[in-house]
Amino acid sequence: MDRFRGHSFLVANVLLAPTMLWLTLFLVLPLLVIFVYSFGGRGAYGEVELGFSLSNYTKAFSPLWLPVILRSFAFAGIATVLTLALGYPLAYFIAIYGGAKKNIFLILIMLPFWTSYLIRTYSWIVILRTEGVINTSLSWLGVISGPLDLLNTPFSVVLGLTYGFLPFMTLPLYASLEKLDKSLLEAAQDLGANRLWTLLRVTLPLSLPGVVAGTLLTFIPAVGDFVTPDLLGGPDTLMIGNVIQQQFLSARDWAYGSALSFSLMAILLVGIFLYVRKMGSEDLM
Amino acid sequence: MSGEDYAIRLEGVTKLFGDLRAVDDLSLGIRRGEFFSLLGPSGCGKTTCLRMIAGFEEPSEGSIYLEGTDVARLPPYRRNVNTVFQNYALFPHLNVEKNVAFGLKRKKLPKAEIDKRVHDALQMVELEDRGKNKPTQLSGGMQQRVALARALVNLPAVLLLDEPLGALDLKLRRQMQLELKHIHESVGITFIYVTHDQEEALTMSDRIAVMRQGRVEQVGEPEELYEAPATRFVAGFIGVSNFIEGRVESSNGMGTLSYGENQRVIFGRPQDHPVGDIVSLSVRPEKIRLLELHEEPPEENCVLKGIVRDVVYLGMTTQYKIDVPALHSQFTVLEQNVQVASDKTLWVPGEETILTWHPYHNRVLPEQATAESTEEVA
Repeated sequence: MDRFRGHSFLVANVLLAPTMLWLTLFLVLPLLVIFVYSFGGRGAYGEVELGFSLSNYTKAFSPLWLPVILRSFAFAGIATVLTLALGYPLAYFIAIYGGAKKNIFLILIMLPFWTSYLIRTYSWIVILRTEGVINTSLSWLGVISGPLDLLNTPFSVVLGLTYGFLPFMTLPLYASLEKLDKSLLEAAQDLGANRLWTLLRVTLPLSLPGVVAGTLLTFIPAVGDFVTPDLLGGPDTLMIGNVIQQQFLSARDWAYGSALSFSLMAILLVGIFLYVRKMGSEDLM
Repeated sequence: MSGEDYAIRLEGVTKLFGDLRAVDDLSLGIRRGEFFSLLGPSGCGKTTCLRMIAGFEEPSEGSIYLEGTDVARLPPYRRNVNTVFQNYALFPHLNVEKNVAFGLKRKKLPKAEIDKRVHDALQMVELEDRGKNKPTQLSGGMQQRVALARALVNLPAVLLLDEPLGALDLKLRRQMQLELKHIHESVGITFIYVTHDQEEALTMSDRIAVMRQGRVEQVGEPEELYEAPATRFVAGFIGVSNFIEGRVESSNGMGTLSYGENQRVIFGRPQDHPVGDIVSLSVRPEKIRLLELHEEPPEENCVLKGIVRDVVYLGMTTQYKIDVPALHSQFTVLEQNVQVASDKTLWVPGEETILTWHPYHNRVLPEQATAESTEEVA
């Protein structure tokens, strides 16, 4: 280690420079712009009038949007729990029993990324709509008399989110389960633990970093998502991401949209901080 | 001995991994309270054997009786045995106390009893002040002792130890050997110890099974294995042996192999080896004495001429490698350094000498394929 220490400052900077430059140009600067905008107002032609007013923030936290924010967190939360419930057994299977086929399973998980998220979400419309695959099959089988309302419901939005973010949950879970020392599972069984007890007392606690990473990678983008509720949702599935999108596009009130974005970010940051502290994974921060 | 006197009894146990017979029709009885070692080179099946007793592997054939009940098909968590793993396998997310309490909590014992037994177990391994530490904060030797406490606290019928000292340095290993032996005596639990280190096995065991290619070559007490190896493999694996092979020339009371003038090897039990038979013998290095050419060996002794090749002075002893032209082989001879400085103390390379020993020290080995001589382990 010591051999590298002498060079570390220079080497670290050279290695980090491209990323730092990229992040500064395309993340930090735009965020600063939005931050400045958020205190401004809307001009007559939809342009941003700079200024200093907190009115955008008071509007952002008005009771008007409370149901929307709550709904966003509920949808994202349910989708996160569902991806965890689906992803954990999947990741566990691949990590423990995958053997030589591990890489094939991993490629299968990542395969959907080869198609655009939009197209994959559109295909759910084909499946869920009134004349869709599910409704026609079920009525052909005689299970239902009339078509089910599947599309444009909270159900379809949560389904779309769960489907879309499943790989983001599965991959970090797999990474932490793969690292798990298999002799610990034997040790647990040796000490009298059956499979369930081993899962609860050894596997789950040791894969907690993967659970934390997976839930964050799923929950954060899911809360702010607007494509899924836009395509699969209906009148009662408006999420905060849709509201922000509307402000920037149709309403052309960039200042208000900026304030909404920053408010969401603030709420998420506090939430994440509390969550990671609670899970005892300070090393993630 | 009736079946109930055995803590563990293996009966015709075979384990196949694909085409490989890791354990081959093995039968073995391990007595209650015994310190029993499974000794052999890597790949001999000793660890597979242990893992079948623990329940991590299921035998392809055969039965494993634990206190008289066949447990061969039971999962590990339904057997009253505990294991000390080679890499310790301590739970990294639990502190030392919780590691040790793991098995007891599973049994849902009252908290007060768990606390007391955990404390006693940690006291036994002298780690009572380390209970709140995480395993990674302990040295290898300490982790080893936590692993031991975690297993023993459950008071299993049998404790299985899979090369538990392999990762420790020599000095710590010696110390832990004695500690383990001491703990074994104080708890009275049957220990089954897997090792490839013959010295370790000899130091600690009541009895040893020497394994090779999935089979048991010989079971016996350390002294028995050393002094009376049953096979050439055991003779070569436990300590060092010199091997002699030859055609029996005369057999009046004692069998004799002759090698020209004044060179002879004499052995007992000639009734099994009539004149003309090929016989295979082994003799230990420390049984052989070296004489000057003009000295007269005792009449009844084995006598061979040799030329000193290598001299390794080891303090207490000196180890010689000596060419024996009559046998076309090289002998290892170990002499105690008991002479005083004024006497001749060491032989020097190139010197001619006479090797002599009492026929009593020759072991007659069963006939085997000679290819095995390449597998000798010094």
